[in-house]
Amino acid sequence: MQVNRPVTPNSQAPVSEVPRNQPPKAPEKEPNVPSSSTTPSAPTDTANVKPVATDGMTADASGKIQEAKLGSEIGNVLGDNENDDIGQLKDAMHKAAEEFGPEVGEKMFNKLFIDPKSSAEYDKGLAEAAKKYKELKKSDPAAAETFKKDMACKMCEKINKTKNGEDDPGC
Amino acid sequence: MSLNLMEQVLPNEVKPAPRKTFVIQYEVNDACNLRCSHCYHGRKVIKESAVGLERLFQDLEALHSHLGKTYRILIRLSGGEVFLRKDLMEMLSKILAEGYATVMLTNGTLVTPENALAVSVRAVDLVQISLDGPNAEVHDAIRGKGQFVKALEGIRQLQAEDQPVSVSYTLMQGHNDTQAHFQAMFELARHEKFEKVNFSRIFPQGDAHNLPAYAYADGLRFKEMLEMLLDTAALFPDVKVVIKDPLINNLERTFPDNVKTDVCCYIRKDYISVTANGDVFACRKLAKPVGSLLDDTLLNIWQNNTLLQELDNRRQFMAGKCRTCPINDQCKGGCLAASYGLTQTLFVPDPACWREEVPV
Repeated sequence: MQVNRPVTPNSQAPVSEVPRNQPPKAPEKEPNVPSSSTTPSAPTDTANVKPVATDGMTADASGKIQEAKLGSEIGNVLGDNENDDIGQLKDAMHKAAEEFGPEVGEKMFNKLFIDPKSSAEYDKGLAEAAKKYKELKKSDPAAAETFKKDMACKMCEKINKTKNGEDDPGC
Repeated sequence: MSLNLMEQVLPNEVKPAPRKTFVIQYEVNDACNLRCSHCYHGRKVIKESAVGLERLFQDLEALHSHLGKTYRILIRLSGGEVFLRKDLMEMLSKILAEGYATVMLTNGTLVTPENALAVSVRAVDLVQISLDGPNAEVHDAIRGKGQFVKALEGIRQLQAEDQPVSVSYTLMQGHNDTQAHFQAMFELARHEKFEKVNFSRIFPQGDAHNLPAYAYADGLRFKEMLEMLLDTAALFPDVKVVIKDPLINNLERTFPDNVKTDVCCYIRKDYISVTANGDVFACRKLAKPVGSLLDDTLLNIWQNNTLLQELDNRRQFMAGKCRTCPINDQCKGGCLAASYGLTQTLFVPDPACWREEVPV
């Protein structure tokens, strides 16, 4: 004896009527740039610099990205954080993201340094993960560098959507 | 560092050949905020796994050395409900720091904007959320009132943080397996931009023992349902579909381009499972443990466990119509979890197999 319930698949309100939350608004206050980063220096030559899309960002955030891009090397922009593990990991993440192209690099830059909520969460997550990095730096500096690059690369891959949900073995 | 992750994630043009993936399903707890009537768990009372992450890492390192560096290790975090672990984010960070890939299985109802962001920054490859129907009426009949909307909202929260999400749909005979259900589900997937939808059948164990009519025990009925699922999926070429079932490739037909079939049985191939009480299972759905990490190591179980080896070599132990079946080399008896769940006997034919017995 089956215990089927009387169910009609389309008897529910259409999917489109299930309300989505409103997308988060851009912060009205000036975003908190983490202390590990330094203010990008003003560009000296802007002749051949490609403009960066800044849809939906505050003018200030947009300006910071533009300046960082104009500086061309985020490593230069954030270059004085050798003693800051989290800053180094963030820097490595941004570099890894740029390997996927400028748009991905820009998106990651925004998440790492501009958006205050996301930046704070990265600080937290990286602080936990950086414990191993700190240990490795003492015991095996070369392994620490590999670790940094590997982790940065893994953390930024998703932003490029290189994974699309195919990789899900198991019942 | 267990793996050079750089090799896995560089852009395609500079990537070396992909590694094989070994999956360990690790239950972080056996506590849940829902009481789904089809759950393959029974009582849910363990708040924290008896095997901590550090111990798991030790065992994985030894197993990984044995398997070789051609493998990468993927930890599939499961429960219970993973979001009930207060230290979940710390666990994810530790797994990331060890260099393992992560997938999470959740009912999605406890996802918030805050923990969606927190999961996303910790490099979880994929979050799999269960939707057992295209709407609240079907889903909530199994999972409880209001859970469909909560799960859908959870998916949206994760998607908003660039977190890949897939949807898992448990097929239940007579409950959610008509052409109309499938069509509505694919419309939902298209509308909500799901990365993919996984289909697998209900396993009659744990709480699901109370729903015997939902299990597939009629081969022709099961075959007809699979054909209908495939035909409906073909109407939605933009929706990625995965059908996980050991019998799926026994269908003598072509499959739509958007459908990936997965014969699923990973027993002693590239999968093992550790439950919250420390038991080790060859397949999480096959309710017969092969050992326990409380008194053994993962590597020793993998290499030397007799039951695990018999399950791996099940072809020679299969009874009934499987013994003379001309495709038994590839099929190996279908799903042992389904047959064991129904009969409490190992090595008997899959109850959903539609093939006739071939005389000797």
